[in-house]
Amino acid sequence: MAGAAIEIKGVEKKFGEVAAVAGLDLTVGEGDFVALLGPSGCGKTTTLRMIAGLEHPTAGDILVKGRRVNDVPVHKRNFGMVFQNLALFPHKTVFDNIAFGLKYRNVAKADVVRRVKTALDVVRLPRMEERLPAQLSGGQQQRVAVARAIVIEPDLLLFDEPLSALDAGLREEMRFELKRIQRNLGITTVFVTHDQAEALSMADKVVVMQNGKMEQEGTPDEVYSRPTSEFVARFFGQVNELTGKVVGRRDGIVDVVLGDGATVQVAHEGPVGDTLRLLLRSERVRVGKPGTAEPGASIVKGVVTSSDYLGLMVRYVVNAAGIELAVMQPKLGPLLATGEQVDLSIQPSAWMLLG
Amino acid sequence: MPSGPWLTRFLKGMTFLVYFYLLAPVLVVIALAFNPRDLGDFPFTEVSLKWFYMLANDQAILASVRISFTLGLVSAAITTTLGTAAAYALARYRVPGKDFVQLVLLIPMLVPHLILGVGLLLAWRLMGLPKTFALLVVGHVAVTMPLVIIMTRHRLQSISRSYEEAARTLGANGLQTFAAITLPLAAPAIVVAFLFAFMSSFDELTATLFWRPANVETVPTQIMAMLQFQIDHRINALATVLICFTVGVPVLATLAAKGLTTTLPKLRAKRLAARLAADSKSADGEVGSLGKGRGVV
Ligand SMILES: Nc1ncnc2c1ncn2[C@@H]1O[C@H](COP(=O)(O)OP(=O)(O)OP(=O)(O)O)[C@@H](O)[C@H]1O
Ligand SMILES: [Mg+2]
Repeated sequence: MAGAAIEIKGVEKKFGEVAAVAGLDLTVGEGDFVALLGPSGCGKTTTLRMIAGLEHPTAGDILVKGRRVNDVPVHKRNFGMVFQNLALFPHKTVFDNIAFGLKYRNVAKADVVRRVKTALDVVRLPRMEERLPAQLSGGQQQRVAVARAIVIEPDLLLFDEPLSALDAGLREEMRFELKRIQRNLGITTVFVTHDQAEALSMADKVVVMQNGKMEQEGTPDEVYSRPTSEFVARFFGQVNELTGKVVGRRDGIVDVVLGDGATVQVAHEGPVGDTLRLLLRSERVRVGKPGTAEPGASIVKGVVTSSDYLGLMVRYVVNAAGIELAVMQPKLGPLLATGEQVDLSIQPSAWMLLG
Repeated sequence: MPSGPWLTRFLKGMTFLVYFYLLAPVLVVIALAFNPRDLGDFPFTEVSLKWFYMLANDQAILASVRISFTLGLVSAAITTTLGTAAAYALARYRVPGKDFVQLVLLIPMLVPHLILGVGLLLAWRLMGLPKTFALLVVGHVAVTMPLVIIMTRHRLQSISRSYEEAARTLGANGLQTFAAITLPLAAPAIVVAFLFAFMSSFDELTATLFWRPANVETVPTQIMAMLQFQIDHRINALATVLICFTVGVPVLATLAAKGLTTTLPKLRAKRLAARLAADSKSADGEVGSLGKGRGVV
């Protein structure tokens, strides 16, 4: 593929006996925003550091625009990196921090001043040149770190959980800002995170990793709605796991009998008599008083066995014909009481099937 | 507690006595330096700078001060350079046998100076080298090395690696990164290490007695020589000067370290502000053309 900004081919990294990355293949298209997502210790940082050149693969190749870069030293790669702790130079002013990369690129003095100013405009942080990093707020430091990485006009932007140190409100704001900056500049970006909301909201392509390997890649909607493994399904929130038997079929929909007799419609092609492993996200089920079911949905009757009030959302556990189902939904009207009779409504497309 | 106030008073009294015990000899020496009488009688009847005057005119003492300064500066410069390099390697790289290397480098601190003195002298003789000023420098470098390594290594280790990594991703090679990031961040510790190395070289007596070439006296060996046959009152004056020096240097060192970490960046920030102000003034005229033509970054 000619348009690939980065190709990672069979890359492996061992620290002694531990394989931090165990055979990873990944292609990042020009201008793409790719999120590496996975639990702690799955090898995200190691992968990013290998792309940056701060770590050397023990096997495999890394290609940038078709050129193998395994042996290109860090300082010759021209990648902008934003570190988890930001790593702003504490003894240098904001201006000197941002201008740092230009010093080694033979940029004329007047151009340095202009480019630093433009970079500060891009991250919306004008008139802060004389401050030291310690004199900035967390969000401002974040912006300086981004400005320092983009001012060198990098071929690639690398982020290692840059938002994890911020509090929730600011994190959301910076998520939006980073996305805006990346889109405006069109720089190919690899973004490491263990926060699924961050990955889904920012990336064009999400790569879910586990144990140093890629588990699944796809658009945010693909990995969220059509996970290929239980691991990926569970990574994006609470999932109910059920088994059922196909008892009838018609154009793209099958009737499935769950455990103790409730029948639901599932979007699926398959012969009658099959046993299916079904996954159902807790937020894809609606629960309400009898008679409030959504049109087009299958209805399952049940009894509320517990409820957790989480502010924006409420988590119910409903016992439906012997099966415990977790349901997550916004609080609409009064809380449903424990012991109350309810209808669960589930759309045929809400079910996820594992092969 | 019923004995509260008494206990506090008692502790305060004891603290005072301890300080007095520690400082009294120093105070006596300083006081006697201003007493012109040959027999140090007390309380004294006259005050004069006689001993200081004699001190300033004693060629042997002046020579020893010169020697001590030269020796201290040369050996501290060498120790600080080599010691910082060694500390950097120990702090940053995984070298095989690191623990062993570190132990060897710190040995001079654990071995009595008497043994160091004899040992190095014997080694020097075995190699057939003449006993010159170089031996003194080599010896003092060895003696002051552990101190420098410990002080700078501690500081280097506390500098997050990600600063250096960030500099590397921005295009600085290893040497440039060290010069632009590591060295400035470690500078306060390096300055203090240099001063401590200088002071401990200035202070070193035991091993120096073995290493000094004939007719070369450092300040401590000179004082030893003067005290060998009689009480010499110029020594009180010399001691007073040295005390001022030993108190003054660390104070200056602290100020210097502070200046390096806070004042310098502030000064630079001010200069930058001036530059930017001038720059934006000159750019004002061409804003229209600039705004249109420039790329995103
Ligand atoms: N320098 C190292 N030496 C030894 N083991 C390492 C080193 N760096 C990482 N590892 C190991 O490699 C594995 C992957 O680490 P990595 O930092 O890539 O994980 P991560 O996905 O970034 O996790 P997190 O979300 O916690 O940052 C871990 O088991 C870790 O202990
Ligand atoms: Mg990590």
